[in-house]
Amino acid sequence: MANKKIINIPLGSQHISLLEPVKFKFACENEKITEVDSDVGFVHRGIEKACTTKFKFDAVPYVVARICGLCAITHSLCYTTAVENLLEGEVPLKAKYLRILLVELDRIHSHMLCLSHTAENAGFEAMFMQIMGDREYVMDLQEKITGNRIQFDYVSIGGVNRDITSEIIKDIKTNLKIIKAKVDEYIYEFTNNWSLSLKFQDIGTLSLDEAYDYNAIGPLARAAGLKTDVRSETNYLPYDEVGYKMQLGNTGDIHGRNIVRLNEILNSIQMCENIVDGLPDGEIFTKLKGKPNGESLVRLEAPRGELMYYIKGDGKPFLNRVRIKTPTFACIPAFMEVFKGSNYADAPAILASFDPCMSCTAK
Amino acid sequence: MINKIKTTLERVVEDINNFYIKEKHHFLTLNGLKLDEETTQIQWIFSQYGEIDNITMFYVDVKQYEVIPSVVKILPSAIISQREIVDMFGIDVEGSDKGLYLDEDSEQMPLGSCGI
Amino acid sequence: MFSSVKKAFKNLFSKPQTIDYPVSPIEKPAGHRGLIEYGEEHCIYCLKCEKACPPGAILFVPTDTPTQNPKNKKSQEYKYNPHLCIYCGECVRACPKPEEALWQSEKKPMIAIKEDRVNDSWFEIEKLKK
Repeated sequence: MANKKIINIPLGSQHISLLEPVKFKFACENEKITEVDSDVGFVHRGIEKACTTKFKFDAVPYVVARICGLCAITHSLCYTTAVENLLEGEVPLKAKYLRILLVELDRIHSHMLCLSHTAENAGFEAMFMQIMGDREYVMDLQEKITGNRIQFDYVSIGGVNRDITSEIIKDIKTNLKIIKAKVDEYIYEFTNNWSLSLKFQDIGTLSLDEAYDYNAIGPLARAAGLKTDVRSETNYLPYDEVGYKMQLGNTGDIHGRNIVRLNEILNSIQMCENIVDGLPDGEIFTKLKGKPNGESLVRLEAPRGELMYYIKGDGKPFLNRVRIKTPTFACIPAFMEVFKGSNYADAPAILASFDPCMSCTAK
Repeated sequence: MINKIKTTLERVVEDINNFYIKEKHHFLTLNGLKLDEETTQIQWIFSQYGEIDNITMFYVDVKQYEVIPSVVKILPSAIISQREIVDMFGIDVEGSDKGLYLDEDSEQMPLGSCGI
Repeated sequence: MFSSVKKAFKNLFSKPQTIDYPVSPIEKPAGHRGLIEYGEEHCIYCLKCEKACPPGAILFVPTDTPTQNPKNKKSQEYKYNPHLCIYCGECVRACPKPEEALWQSEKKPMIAIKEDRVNDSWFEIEKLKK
C-alpha cells in the first residue's frame, strides 16, 4: 500500500489573488487540506500604546480612524460613544440620525467592494469594473456631506461637525435610486449565472453548530443561520426607528454569504431613505464637560462584524487603557476551521468570501 | 453596566465552565490592564445573544511570574487572544507561543510592567 | 440572449464612465477641505488652536521681531506646517473668532520638494519651542 505524502503549500503574503497581507501554511494530502497554520501581524503599528502615551483623549478619534480605510467611521464613532458615556451631557437626536446615515453609506460601499472582489476571483473582470464604477456614486455623496471621500473626520465628542442642506438631500435621493436599480441587476446575475456564484454552493461551509462553537460574527455567522447582530443588541443609536431588519441565510456556503451581503445593501438603502425623509430639527453639537473617569465598554456593527472598545480613565487628560477588538481578529479561528477538508484550488475563493481586513487585525 | 466577578487562577477554568452555555453566551475577547508596577489584571468578557447590553466579566489579578491556564478546550476561539496577551504583556499562557505581532529584535512587552 | 443584445446596443451610444484627467479638470463640490489661513490683526494669542491640533501642526514660537499687535505680550509668532496638517478643522472650531483670525479656505496644498527642506526646517522650529 503506498504511503500518502504530506506536502506543505503556502498561500503566502505575496499572492496574485490576495488583497491583504496574510500568510497561511496548508498541509495537503493529494489536494485536500488537512492542517492550517496562520500568520497575521505584518502591519503592526502599535496604536494601542500610542493612544495612552502620545495623544490626549480628545485627539484620539482622529488617530483611531486611521486604523483602517474601509471602516474608518465605525472606529471613531465607537470610541466617541465610549468617551461620551463617561462625561456629563447628552448628544442631540439630530446628530445621532446623521451618524447612522454615514455608517450605513459606509456599509454599502464596503459590501460592494467585497462583491467585486468575488467577481474578479471567478474570472468575470467586466463585472468587477462595473461594480467599482457604480461605487463612485456613493463616494460622491460622502464627499458632498463630509468633505472627504474615505477618511471622513466627521464625528467629534458631542455631536457631528457639519450640517446637511436641502440640495444635498436631493442628491442623496437621486443617487440612491440609481444604485438600487443597479443592485437589482446584480442580484439577478448572482442568482442565475452559473460560473459567478452558483458553482460555489456547498463549498467553504460553516455549519450552525460550528458557528456557535467558534463564536462567529458578522455576515459569516448570519449566512449560517446564527441570529446575531449588534444593531439589535444595543441602544446607543436609534436603529429601531429607521427600519432595520436582520437578513439571515441558512446554507453557510460562499453563495449564501454573497446573497446575505446583497440583501444587506438593499436594507441599508431603505434605511438611508427613511432617515433623510424623517430628519428631526435641532442642534448638531453640544459641548460636554469634564475628563473621563471610570470604565466603559461599547460595541458597534462594522461591515465585517462586531467591533468592541473598552476604555479606562482616571480623571487625567491621558487615558489608562484603550482595548480594541476588531471583527476579523476574532474570526480567525473560524477561518482556519473552514479551510480543513476543502480542495486547495478553492482556497482563494474561500478567502475572498470572508472579506478580511488585515489593517484592522494587526493594529 | 458591566457585571464583574472576581476569581482566582486555580478556579477560573471551573468558573467559566459552569457559567458558559453555548447557545446563550457569546465570548468577546481577553483583555489585560496594568494596575501598577507588579500587578496586571486579566479579564474574560462575555455577552448574551438577543439581550440589550448584558456584559459579564471575570477578572484575576496576577503577578509577572505566574502562568495563566488556557481556556481553549471550552472556548476554541480564545487561542488568538491568548497569543496577543503573551506578546503585549509578557505573561505566560499555557500552550501559546510568542511572535504574533512582534519580531525578536524589537522592543518587547510594550504594555506590560517592564515597558512604560 | 435577447437582453444582452439590447444592453450591448444601449452601451454603444452612451458616453464612457472614465474622466480623462488631466485634460479635463475634476469638479470639486462646495465645502471641500483646503489650507488653513491666518489673519494676524484679529488674533488674541490665546493659544487654543495649538492645544486642539491632533498632530501638532500649529506652533507659536518666541521671536525677536514681534508684530505690533497689543495682545502679543510674550513676543510670539505663528508657524503652520501644511504637510503635517490633516485638514480636520479642529483649530477653527476651537478659535474664539473663527471667521476673522483663523479659517479654512478651499485652496490646494503645495507639493513638498527636496530643495525646500520641509522636514529639517520644521524640526528646527520645534526645538525653539522647548
